[in-house]
Amino acid sequence: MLFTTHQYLFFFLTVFVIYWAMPWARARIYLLLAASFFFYATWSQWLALIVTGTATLDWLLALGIDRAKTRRVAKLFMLTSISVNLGVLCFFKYANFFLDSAYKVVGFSPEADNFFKVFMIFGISFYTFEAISYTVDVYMGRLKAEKNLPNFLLFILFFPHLVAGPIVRGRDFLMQAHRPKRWSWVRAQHGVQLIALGLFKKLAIADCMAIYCDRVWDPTIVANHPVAALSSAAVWMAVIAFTIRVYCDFSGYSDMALGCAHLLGYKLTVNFRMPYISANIAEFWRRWHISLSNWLRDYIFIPLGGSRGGFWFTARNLTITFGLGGLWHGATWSWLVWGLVHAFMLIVHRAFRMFAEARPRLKMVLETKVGTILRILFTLFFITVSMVFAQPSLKIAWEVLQKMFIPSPGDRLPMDQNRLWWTLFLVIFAHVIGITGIWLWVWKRLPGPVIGAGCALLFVAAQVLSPDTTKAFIYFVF
Amino acid sequence: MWSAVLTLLALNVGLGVYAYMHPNFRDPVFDLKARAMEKHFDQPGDPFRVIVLGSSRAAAAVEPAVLETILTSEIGRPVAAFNMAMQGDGPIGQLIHLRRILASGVKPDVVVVELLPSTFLFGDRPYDFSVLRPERLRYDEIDDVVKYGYPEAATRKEWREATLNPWFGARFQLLARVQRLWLPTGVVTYQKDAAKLGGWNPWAAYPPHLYRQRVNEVKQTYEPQLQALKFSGPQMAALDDLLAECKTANVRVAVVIPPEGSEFRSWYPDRVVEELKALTDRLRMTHGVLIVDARQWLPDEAFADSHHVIRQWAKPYTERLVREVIVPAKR
Repeated sequence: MLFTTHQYLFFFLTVFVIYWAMPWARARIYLLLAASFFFYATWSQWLALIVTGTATLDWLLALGIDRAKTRRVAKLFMLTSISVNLGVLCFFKYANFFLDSAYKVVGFSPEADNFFKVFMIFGISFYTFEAISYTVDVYMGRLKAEKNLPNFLLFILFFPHLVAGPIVRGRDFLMQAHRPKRWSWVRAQHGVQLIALGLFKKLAIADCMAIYCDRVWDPTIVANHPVAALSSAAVWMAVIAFTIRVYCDFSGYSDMALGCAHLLGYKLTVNFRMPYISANIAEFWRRWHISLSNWLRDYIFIPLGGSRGGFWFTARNLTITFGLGGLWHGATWSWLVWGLVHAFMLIVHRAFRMFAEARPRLKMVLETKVGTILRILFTLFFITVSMVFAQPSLKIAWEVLQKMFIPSPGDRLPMDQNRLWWTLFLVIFAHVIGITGIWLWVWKRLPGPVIGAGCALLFVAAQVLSPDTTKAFIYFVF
Repeated sequence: MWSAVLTLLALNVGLGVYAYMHPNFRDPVFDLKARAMEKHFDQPGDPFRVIVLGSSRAAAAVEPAVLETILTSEIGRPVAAFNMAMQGDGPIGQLIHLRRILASGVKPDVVVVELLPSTFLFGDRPYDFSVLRPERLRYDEIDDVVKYGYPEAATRKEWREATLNPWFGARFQLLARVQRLWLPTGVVTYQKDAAKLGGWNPWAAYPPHLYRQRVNEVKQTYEPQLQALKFSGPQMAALDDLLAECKTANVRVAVVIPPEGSEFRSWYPDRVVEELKALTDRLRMTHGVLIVDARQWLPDEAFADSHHVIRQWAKPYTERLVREVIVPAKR
């Protein structure tokens, strides 16, 4: 069930009405749990059982960690939980990656020869990371093990964030599960606003940009219409469209997830803070997919030693962290390269920062308004180029890069570019009024009914501007 | 929050009521042309009325002003002609649109119907379903299209969703009126000037470097369709019903297989050519109509993409259409 479908609307309204109609806090937990199980089971009943089964095992292991008499036993339980979760992740997500690579080495064609392929579990990357962070936090003493199984299962299965995050920490969610919920009009309004905004980003922007960029990113289209046939200008437009699409698709989903959670009395982690206005790549990762970058920092980068060693030690840790981060996104060589490209950019940023710190005049120039704008544009340029690797095929990524930097004629994109440029203008305008504070200034002064009417208009605009086909959210396959 | 809910309700109810009171709102492509046609036909002197139905091919190939001039000189009577062909109209689309025309009180003297083989494709649903979408239909047309092969559950569901959520259901209709360039490719577009020139939609030739690309794209779309084509299925009944209803309404009808370039013609398998001939023979016998195969009427340079006639060749094609199709059909 996609968030943007009528089925989800009906499902959510049903859950919402029953949820607030019942006065018993425990019953609400069970209702949300049942609804979450049902939500996941609409994708696949067996997968819902697998997720529930592994989550139950993690709950038991965490209790074991808490009650373990020795640190050694507690560590064993923690490692068991990590192994099971990583095992499930590796099997369902990466088995095909290794199988395909092995098949190609020995000369078989997996698609043509119908060899063994493993099916994907939606949201596997998200919930396994949540489970791992939970058991590690219990082991490290940051969190007491949750004694109530339904509460813990809700933490893992909570349907607004189940399939595409944000990656929630146990300590943030579980205490909310224990708190009785009271209806709040302010909170409900905030939730509705987030949902309306998320819908607009997804339907009116992301799905439309997909029409432009699928010509390069969709393997089924590229198989019949090679990238090489496109002109350089068309490829650049597709790349710009993808950069807009991935942000609006993912942040749109996150907005809707947060909005739905608010309407049920839960607060999830904010996942995006206008990442495209970042002045450097480090800032980008503090604004983009915040829950993932925090997870990578806390559970991979810092345990590896973080930046406590010298420059090269830190560079090593960044490479490992972002290499794994790339693979988290996709089980392909191209995604691995994407992760390594970001690691490289972070290393270069560190080196340049050290260089600039030693030169106060340079640092002063870089921190002026013009200097900051240039740094933002520079960072955005490299992020846009790195998006070329955010796709299944390294071969196609290389073809795209060649087209981008070696000008050549060719076909145009199938859709008129008018809408692409207007969308780009809208996204830039939205960022400008966001960072200048104009939006907040206006928002605080608007009467409530006007804000409500505005949300309704945004909702209607999202529907009018949505294209023919509703695409699944990009991050659903992670 | 209440203001959001009330605003949403007001917007949906408002548009829903408007759509109910203006049935043609759902199909602005038809509505624009139909209103222009009615105005054109409302001339003093009781002109001889000719309507052309069909797809974008007929819309590009038939120039009504030329038709009127030639036919007037042939029959010695004023003629009013209108090209009601619309992008993607197959047999079901032509029947639905003809019924609306007749129901509005317009009674043509001759109707030229397009028999375009590729529009008879039926996978799990008829070709027309992809173009004449449920949201373009009126409530009383749902049963009809289901009879001709539209999937019942999907058709009713889409129509219902479009009615209950009119801003989503009519989004292409609305967007087309505001900014046509923002419509996704493949969506039937509403063009403000579609009713000018008597409904004729002239095509320009592609520059040489784009011509080959365009023909290759057309080939990728049509060649597999033509290979899979069978003249069977519920959508065939739409063509039979269209011809029968013209007869009942005392409207003379002529059926034309539209012109195609040699490259396009080469994509037909022999089986389909034979089945097409058998179909035309059956239609002649059953309905007594004039059926003309115009596929080889024009040279290759007459086409933009091997199947849409370019502007300069619409006049010679229309002249021949009048002499070899419309005049004989009138008799």
